[in-house]
Order: sequence, then structure tokens, then C-alpha cells
Amino acid sequence: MLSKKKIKIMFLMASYEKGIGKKDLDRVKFYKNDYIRLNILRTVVYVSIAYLLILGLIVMYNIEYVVKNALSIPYTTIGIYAVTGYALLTILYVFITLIVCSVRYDRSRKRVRKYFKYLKYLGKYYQDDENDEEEH
Amino acid sequence: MMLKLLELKEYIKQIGDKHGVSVKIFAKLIAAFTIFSLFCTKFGYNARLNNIAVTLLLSVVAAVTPDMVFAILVCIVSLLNVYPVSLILAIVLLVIYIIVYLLYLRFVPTQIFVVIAVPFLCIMNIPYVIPLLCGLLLTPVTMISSSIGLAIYYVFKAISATQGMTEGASIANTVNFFGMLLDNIKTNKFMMFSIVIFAVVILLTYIIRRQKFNHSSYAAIIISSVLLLVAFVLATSLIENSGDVLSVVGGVIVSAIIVVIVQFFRISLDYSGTKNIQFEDDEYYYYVKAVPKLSVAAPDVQVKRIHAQVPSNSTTNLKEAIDRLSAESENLEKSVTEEDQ
Repeated sequence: MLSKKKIKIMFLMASYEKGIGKKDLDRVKFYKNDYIRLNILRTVVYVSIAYLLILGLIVMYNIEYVVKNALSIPYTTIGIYAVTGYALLTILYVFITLIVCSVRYDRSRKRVRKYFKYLKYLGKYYQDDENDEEEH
Repeated sequence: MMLKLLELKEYIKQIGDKHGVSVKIFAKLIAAFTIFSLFCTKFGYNARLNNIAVTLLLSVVAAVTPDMVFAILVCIVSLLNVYPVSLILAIVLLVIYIIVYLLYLRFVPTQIFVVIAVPFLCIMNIPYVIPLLCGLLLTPVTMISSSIGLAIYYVFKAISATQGMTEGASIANTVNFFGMLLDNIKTNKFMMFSIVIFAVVILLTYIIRRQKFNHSSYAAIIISSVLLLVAFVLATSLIENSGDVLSVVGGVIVSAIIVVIVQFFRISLDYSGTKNIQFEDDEYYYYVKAVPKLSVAAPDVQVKRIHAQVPSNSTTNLKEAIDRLSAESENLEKSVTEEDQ
């Protein structure tokens, strides 16, 4: 038999699965710590690539100076500055990732909990229907 | 007047609900066509891209594909337009896009639309919509997006300013061009000023609209618009010396009107029906201020056709048929009762 409440729940679940639920379910497959660690790893890779690209742009901007003074440039000092900059940027981004991913995971878990609650509810509905049919 | 506006709002909302997908595709098509046309008109250095057929094709592709494809298409078009000016510059721009993605947009992918919107609204002379809307609808994080968008717009402006200064594609010329371009951007005080003012306005709008007093959103729009007006009029006359104050005034006023319309369609509240409620549970004591939303039913216009003849069964309205049947049955019941008496 058609139940208005059941249809409403099914609609809510379907729209969730099709929308943000896809990402949520992917996220909560991991434990929170694993999810954050994985994202920190990704962040370190992306920050490294971005930093290399920024360094490339800086070198390109100063290419004239670099070519003229190739032998007299204090490479060690520049290297120390570059590594320090990289370390600071990475630490900053690891910190941002930690916060962003933690908040994202918590929100996803909250939504997924609701989704499973609906799923359980729906399962109960079907169970009741089956029992009714058997009785008849 | 207000009632009419609310009815119009409900009517438009109904159309949106009824034809959601088609309305979205149509809106995207219009937006994409405007963006690609504007870009090609203002910074169209690539003759192949600078024609209506390509623009239309790109707009159709952008309209029927996911939103992210639209954003990527805009980036590709901007790169292809820079490529004829200088290959190195196109590569540099691509590198900048990648850096922006890796360090910022990866965390907030939807902000790409704010980044894209800024340069195009700058071309349309209404960039002031961005800080007002971002403060009103989004969070202060959009300060970064609006800054990136403004920087990209001024990069393109610098490209068009320095484009004719060097000739030839030799490495020396390219490096020279690149240097001139960066110097142009570095010495652009107006760009720095715009970035700072946009950030301040976003923050100010956000703070004011979150206050609890009545009409806080509209107050935020008015105060921020005044700030934008004063700041940019001063900046235009002092930093730019262009004296184009009228366009700034017009731009700010038009932007404020657009934002007011958006806010009206987003939410309208009836402050006369405000209720202050207090209650408690085991852990907290709640002070709740509830403001009802203003809403009216959309006008249900029904055109009744009066025919000389009784319409055929196929065109008879079901409701009318039921009414007629119930009236007939009522008459029948009455006549039967009278006969019995």
C-alpha cells in the first residue's frame, strides 16, 4: 500500500544520495583519523607542487639577474630561505587541512547518521508490510 | 505595491519550481554567452575565438554540462586569448591558475564562481555587486576569492596596456614584456586599494547582516554601498586621476539595486509579527526571536471561456463535471424528498 510518509522518506533519501550524500558516504568509509591523514598527505603533495611553481615564477621574473650573476649568487642563503618558506607554508596548510577536514568529516557523519536512521525506518516499514502480507 | 511585488516573487518562484531544469539551463546559457562575449570584446586577442559562432557553441556546451565544466571553459578561453599575445604569458597564466587551485580552490571549489564573476562584473562596471553579495549570502572567506578575481582582472588589464609595447617573439622581448607586465601590476595602487576595500566591505556586510536588529540585511547593503561609493570616488579622483567619478557612482547605485532585488527574492520578513520567546531545557535557557516570513499566494488566474454551445466531453473540466454532478444529485435528492412528503 502507498504510504505518504514512506514516499517522503524515499524521496529525501534519493535526493541525498544523488547530491551531497555521494561525498558524505565516501568520506565516512574512513575513520576520522585516517581521512584527515590522507588529506594531509594530499595537501603536502599539492603544496609542494604549488611551491615549486611559485619558485619557478620568481626565477623567471628575475631571470635577467640570475643569468648575469649566476656565479656570484649566494645559493646557500637562498636555499635556506626557500626551504624555510616551504616548511612554513606546509605547516600552515597542514593546519588548515586539519581544521577543514575535521569539520567536513563531522558534518558528513551527522548527515550520514540521519540517512541511516531513515534507512532503518524504511526497513522497518517493509518488514511490517511483509508481516501483514504473511498474516493475510 | 509591496503586495504586488510579493505576488510577482511567488509567481517567479512557481515558474522556477515548475521548470527548474530548463530555467537553470537557460540561465546558464545566458550567463555563459554574456561572459564569453564580454571577454572576447574586451580581451579578445585570438581572432579564431572572437566570433559569434564559437561563442555560441561554447555557451551551449557550458549550459548543458556540469557547473565545473563552465568554470574550466572560462579558464581555457582566457588562456587561448592570451596565447597570441605571448606563449610564455599564457603558460605563466596557466601556472597561476594551477597555483590558485592547489592552494585555495581545492578547499572551497564552489568559490571558483566568485573568482570568475569578479573580472566580468569589472568589465560591466558593476564589480561592487560582489562584496555586497558575498557579505550578504556567503562567508568572509570570499575575501580571498574576490581578491584573486580582482588580481586576475588587473592582470588582463595590464596585458592589454602592455600588449603593443614589444614586438617580436624573441626570448629577450618576451622576458622584457613579462617584466613590464609585472611592473605594471606591482605599481597599480588602484588594484591594491580595490582588494582592500572589497575585503573590508565583505566583512562589514557580513557583520551587519548578522545583527539582530530589524532590516539588518538592508541596513548592511546601504551602509556598505555608502562605504563603497565614498572609497571608490576618492580613489578614482586621487589615485587614478581619470575623473570618471560618474561611472563609479552609477556602478555603485546599480550594484546596490541588484543586491536589494536579490535579497528581496531570497527572503522577505514581516517584522511587525516578531515574537520574542523564552524557554529552557536541562542545559540551556533560550531567548528566541522569531520573525515570520512575508508570503502571499501567487495569483491564480483562471480564464473562463464562455461558449454559446455546451463544450464537448473531451474539453470539459473535471472539476466542473464533479460540481455539475453533485448539483444534479442534490436536485434529485430534493425532488425525491418532496415526492415522499
